[in-house]
Amino acid sequence: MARAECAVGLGLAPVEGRGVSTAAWQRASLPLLMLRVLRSSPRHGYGISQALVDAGLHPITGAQLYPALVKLEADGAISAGWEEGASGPARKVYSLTARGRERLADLEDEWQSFVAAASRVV
Amino acid sequence: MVDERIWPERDRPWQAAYLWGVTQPEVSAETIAARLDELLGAVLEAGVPAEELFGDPAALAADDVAELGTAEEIVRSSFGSGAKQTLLLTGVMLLVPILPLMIVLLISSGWEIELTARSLTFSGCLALMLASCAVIRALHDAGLPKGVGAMIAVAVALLVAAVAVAMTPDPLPRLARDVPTLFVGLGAAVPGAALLLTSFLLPEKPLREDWSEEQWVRRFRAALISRGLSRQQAAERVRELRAGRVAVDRSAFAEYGHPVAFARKMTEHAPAAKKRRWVVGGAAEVVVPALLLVFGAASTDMWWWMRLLIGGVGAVWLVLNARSVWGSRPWKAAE
Repeated sequence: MARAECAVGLGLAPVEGRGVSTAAWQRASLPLLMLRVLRSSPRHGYGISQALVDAGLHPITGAQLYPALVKLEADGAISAGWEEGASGPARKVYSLTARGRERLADLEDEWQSFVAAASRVV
Repeated sequence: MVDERIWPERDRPWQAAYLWGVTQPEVSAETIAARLDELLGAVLEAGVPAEELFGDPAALAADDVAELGTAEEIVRSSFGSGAKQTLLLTGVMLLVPILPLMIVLLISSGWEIELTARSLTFSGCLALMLASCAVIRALHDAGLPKGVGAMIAVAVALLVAAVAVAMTPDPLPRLARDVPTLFVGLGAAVPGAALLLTSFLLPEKPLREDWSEEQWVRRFRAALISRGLSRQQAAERVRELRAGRVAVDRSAFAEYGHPVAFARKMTEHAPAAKKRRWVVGGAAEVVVPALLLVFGAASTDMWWWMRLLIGGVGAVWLVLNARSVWGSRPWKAAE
């Protein structure tokens, strides 16, 4: 029997802070969501967060957002450049790279498989 | 009520392997205890071996570290989290050399030795240098690179002083003769033991939460540099956060958490920082065995077998550490 099946079957109590919630699903799928937002147009960090809120998702704190951006940039999925603000300070703007598009396609496939499998259970 | 649930005999090796893997700085002892209790409950309920139920203990431990570990816990448990941990490290660093020192003294001078001002000054300089190294580590963990630089200068000055004292031809005044060697060893252990005792008596303190914006940014920038970013890269990160914060009305602490923990998250995957951390960390790991090797080879006034022993230990230690450092090179995954 697979480990995950056992854990669910046995009703393992969640360790504090591990409860499943929309916020937790969102955290787990954050790279997919961020790349998807950047596919439509380049954005700065707060702009990505705002786009997710506009879509009805939970606001992302800076503590989650910026480390995720650093990781995506280190993986070559996004690139960053500074852009002068019209009425404020200059902002770092992120855009999707060719590698990022490939990564996004892979993540979307994985997500579709997950949703299809989950919807057969739920 | 006492919890009488214990791991079945057949699962103890599995439990030990899991515990070995999950015991990492980013996972608190309380979290590990709760998780072990959860796993034990599952094993007892299922009535099948833990190996069959959960699979490879190392793989499960790695998953749990990724899921349960936090950068905040690393900072809270680091040597730089406060006086308690810094004193603990300093005490250990002062106590560790006592045993080899005693063995060397007993072999070279017997049960009684002569104490001179030179030998005491030399030992004092070395002890203070070891204490400085502990403080350097604590300041580094706390994300304070300026303090690290200042303490490195102090440690180098103490090392130079120790070498200068050792090379003085005049033995300086004799302070006492026929002092029992074991008594000298006990005396040398007093400072380290006192620091350990003080550390145990100090209470655990939670991470600081009251940060003004300026304090938070200053510490965050310093911690980024301490974690391997250049000044320019650190300034750029700060600039980015400041620009993003224009639209956010929460404090920096509420938005990003503890500045040192957040700096860890921001530099964990940054390629330049990873490489610099590898170079500095690797150098620190090979420098002590290299010094031991040189000391063994260059100390012409010692017996040949002692030189061989010291040099041999240094050489083996150097090779093992060099292999370990090379194995952890950041670009290994890409090869």
